[in-house]
Amino acid sequence: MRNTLFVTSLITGLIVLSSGCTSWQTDKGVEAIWRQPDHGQWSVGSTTDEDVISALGPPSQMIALDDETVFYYMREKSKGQAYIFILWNTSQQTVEYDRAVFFFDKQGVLLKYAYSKENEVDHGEN
Amino acid sequence: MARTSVRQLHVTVLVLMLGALSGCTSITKHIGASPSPSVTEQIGVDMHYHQVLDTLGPPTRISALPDGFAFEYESFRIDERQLGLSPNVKFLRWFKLAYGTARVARETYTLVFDSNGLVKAFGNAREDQDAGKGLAFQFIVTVTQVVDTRYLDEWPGQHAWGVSMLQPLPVALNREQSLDSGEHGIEQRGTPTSSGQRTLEWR
Repeated sequence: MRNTLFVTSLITGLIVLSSGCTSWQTDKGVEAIWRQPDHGQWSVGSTTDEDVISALGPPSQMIALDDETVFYYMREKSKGQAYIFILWNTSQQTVEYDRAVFFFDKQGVLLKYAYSKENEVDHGEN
Repeated sequence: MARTSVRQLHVTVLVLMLGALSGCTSITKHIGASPSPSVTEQIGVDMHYHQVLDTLGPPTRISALPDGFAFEYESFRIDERQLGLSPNVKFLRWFKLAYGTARVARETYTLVFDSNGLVKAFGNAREDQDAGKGLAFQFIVTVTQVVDTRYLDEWPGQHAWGVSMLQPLPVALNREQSLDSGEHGIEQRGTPTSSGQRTLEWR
């Protein structure tokens, strides 16, 4: 009986000592300057590709459509946490994307722009 | 005396179970967000892409097509459940044999526009698929996937264009047909390379 109690205590102690939790966050892609309140305001029909690229920097991707050019900006935020209790462990990870796209005509004049919906993006710093 | 023996037996069984079932693990990943059905219901044929962007926001991927262009919205939820077994003997108790099964819930919404920027076709899919099974022998406190789902959570093409010419030779040589460049079509993440434009990259 004493041996059983010892083994039980040993295993319980091992579980308690080995349990833990961890969290992580990684950010990839361009900086989401378009979310900053003081960034340039875009005006369809007058803003040019030069205005956008000088305000936001090089885009993540440039796409040549038939008559239009697309500047595609993307920020990826990955957040996760894990809880380790030996007998039961869990890990959860969420990857969110914040995007901005700008469509220009052949002269480089802005035709349309759009940002990711607010409810898809977490603006928390950390 | 008999009651004590039964109790000892129960304790022993409990200890053995605790020792053997040493790592039930749940791993969940949410990747991206797709527009909800209530939002996509607002989309119809002949709608201009400006309205689509106002309604849905920027897509996951954009690509030029021979007579127009396409948008694709995509998101995933990967769920993996693992059962860990560890023998309660000297050295091996620090390791476990983990068996895992994974499922993927995928949402995809694709729109095709004509050269005037008007929707000419659209469609969506909501699928819950088996993503496979895996077995691993690992350290007892390890919490990691045993089912390989990297093909779903790898870097999006928008991050990787700068290294496109540093890819393995079959991929770099096939760049003219690349589905990541936004100029040669669109594919869902995880599509096997043994079909379509990636056939030459098959390895």
